[in-house]
Formats: sequence, C-alpha cells, structure tokens
Amino acid sequence: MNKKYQLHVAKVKPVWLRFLILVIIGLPPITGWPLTLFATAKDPLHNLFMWLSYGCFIWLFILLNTGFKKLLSYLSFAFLLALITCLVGAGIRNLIGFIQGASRQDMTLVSIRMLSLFICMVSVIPYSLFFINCFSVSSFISRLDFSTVKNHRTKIHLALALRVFQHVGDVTISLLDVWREENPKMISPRFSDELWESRLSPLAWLNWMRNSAVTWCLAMIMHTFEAIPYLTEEMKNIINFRENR
Amino acid sequence: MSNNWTLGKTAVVAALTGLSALGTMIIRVPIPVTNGYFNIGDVFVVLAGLWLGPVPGLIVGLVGPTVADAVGFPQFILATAIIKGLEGFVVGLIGRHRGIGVGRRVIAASVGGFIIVAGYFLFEAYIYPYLGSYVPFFKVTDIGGAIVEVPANIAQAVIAVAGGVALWRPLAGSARPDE
Repeated sequence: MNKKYQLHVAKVKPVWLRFLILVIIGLPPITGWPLTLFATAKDPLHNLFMWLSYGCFIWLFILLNTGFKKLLSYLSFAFLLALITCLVGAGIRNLIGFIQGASRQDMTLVSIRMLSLFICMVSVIPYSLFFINCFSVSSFISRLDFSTVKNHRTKIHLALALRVFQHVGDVTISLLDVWREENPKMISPRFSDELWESRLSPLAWLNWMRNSAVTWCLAMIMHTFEAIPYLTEEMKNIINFRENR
Repeated sequence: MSNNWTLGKTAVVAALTGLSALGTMIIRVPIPVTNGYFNIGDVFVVLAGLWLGPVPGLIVGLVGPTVADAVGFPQFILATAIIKGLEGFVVGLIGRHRGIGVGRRVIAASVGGFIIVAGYFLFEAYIYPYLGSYVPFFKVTDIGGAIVEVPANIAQAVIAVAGGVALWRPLAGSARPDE
C-alpha cells in the first residue's frame, strides 16, 4: 500500500487521545449514535445500507492503518463468527416461522434482520481487534515503574494478564491459517473430490461440522496454554532485570 | 491481592478469560423473541471455578462473556456480567476443595448451570422490562420471551456442566498454578 495514504492511529500520543479517537470511531456499534438519527422503522433496507456504509468506512480505516494482510486476517475471523451466528440464526428463525405459519413478509424481515446482524458483526469484530492491537502491551510493560513498593504486585499481575489476553487474540486469528494447513482435506476444494460424494447425506455434514469445531476448539486451548510458561518466565525476567538494575 | 496468588495463576485466569470470551463469540446461535443467543463460553467459566476456585471463577465469568457481549449484543452486558460472575464464584465455592469426588464437582457445576437459567429468566422477565421503562436501551425482552428462551438456556447450562467437568478431569491430577 502506498505509504503516502497510511494512517498511524496506533502511534498517536498521548495514549488518552488515541483512546478517544478510537472510541469516537466506534460510537455507532457501541451506542447506535449517530446512525439511529437516520434510521427509519419503515424501511429496513435503508438501515441496512447505513450499516453497510459504516462497515466499509471501518474496513477502509483499518486498511489505511494496518495494510491488506492484517485486514484480511481480521476479516477472516469476523466472517467466520458472523457466518456461524447468522446462518444458524436464520435457519432457526425460519424453521420456527415455518412451523408457526409465518407470512412471506415476516420471513423477509427475519432475513433482513440477520443480514443487519451480519453486517454489524463484520464491522465490529475487525474494529475490536484493531482497537486491542492499537495498545502495545509490551510497551506498557516496559514503561511500568516497579521502583515503588506500593501497587508493585498489582501492576505486575495486571501487565501479565493483559499480555496473555492479547496472546489469546493473536492465537485465534492465526489459528485459522494453521487449521487450514493442517486439515486440507476438510476444506480445500482440490482435495475434496472423493469426499464430496460421501458428504451428500446431512449426517455426514453434521459429522464434518462437529469434527471441525472440536479440532478448532482443542487447537485453540492448546495453543493458548502452551505459551503461558514462557510469558510468565518473561515477566519474571523483566522484574529481575528491573530490580537488579 | 493475596501473597499466594502467583504469576502462573494470573496467566491461567487471563487465558481462561480470553477463551471464555472467544467461546461466547465463536459459536453463537441467536434466539428469536429475545434477541439473545446461545453459546458455549460457560464451559470455561465452570472450568475456572472447578480448577482454580471462587475468585478466579468470578473474574473469568465477569470479564470473558461480558467482553464477548460487547460485540453485537451490548444490551445483555449487565445481565451477563452479574449472572456469569456469580456462576463462576458459586461453582468455585462449592467445588474448589482438593480431594472431593467428581460427584460434588458435578453438583457444583450444575448449581452454576441453574444460575444461568434462573438468572437470565429473572433478568429477561422482570429486571430488563423494569429498567426498560426508564432506559429504552434495556427494552429488549418481556416475560413471554424469557419463557421461550428457557430451553435454550437449559441446553447451554447442560453443555457448560458437561464441558466444564470434562475439561477439568484431565487437569485434576496436575498441580494448580498457585501451587
């Protein structure tokens, strides 16, 4: 990306100004304002268009700050979550509507509602990830003043908690690539010729979904916990270094 | 902060908090009527209570699912923070002691599950409609919606109990991070 157009919100100082800028940009998903001023109850498509515009703005904002690669990793995670939520949600709502004999108009409203939720999620999740990554835990730790005895322990524990929390976020985003590499037969079309025939039954699809979810969850737990001894040791070393200096 | 609270314990609590937030976000099944959703984040709240005790259970329950609610479902933050925090605390209080059998752990986790079902019903049927009469932001549920959501919350509680105890069992033999 042309560096001429690059933004550097993550480098804005002081930190409270950076926080303020990010909060102002995130106001619509957090409070609904100012999009609710233009929302109309009669025209759900109009509201949908407003959220879509906001989503495009957020993506552009993240793109200008982080570049394509980071934006794509945020988006892959956001789309995964949003697709699961909205497809299952739409399925359940339509099933209930079908059983209750809902009108075609009601069904359309359900679809629009799910679409709104989808757009909201694919806007808010990349924004949340970007927000977290705008604050470097490493630099926070390096700036901590351990010289005073007061609140010494609390500061150390808080810094470590933030470090681990950010690590969980990093693991989850990168896990999508790891999972795809390790399970090519489960998702990649070039491996799936012989599998597609056996997947015609709905039970086979359910089994595939269950296996995918279990593999993903286990990998997430293992990758999260395996780094804990290193992160704890790293923090101990920082403390020792500061105290002996 | 007590002196026997080690760095390892803080790291594990933070990891479980993050996993709880992700578990709440990743598998979300929206429930019609209340606009709430079904999720599996409680598994890690129950695990934190059983493995580490009441205070870590409270922290994981209070922070993890609440962070997840902030993405897409902010109206439920208040209910989630109170209910899940209480769930982790109570599970830890009943099931924290070493040497007690699996049966008591299951009872502890089940009490946590009951807190989910009863807590959300209470919030959605009475507290939110009451708050909604003053602040429109909370006007998202009523007693009819709360009743409809009970089966989904029961399923969520059962998964939390089964998943939490299943994940705790391999950890039961190992040293706790504060030991």
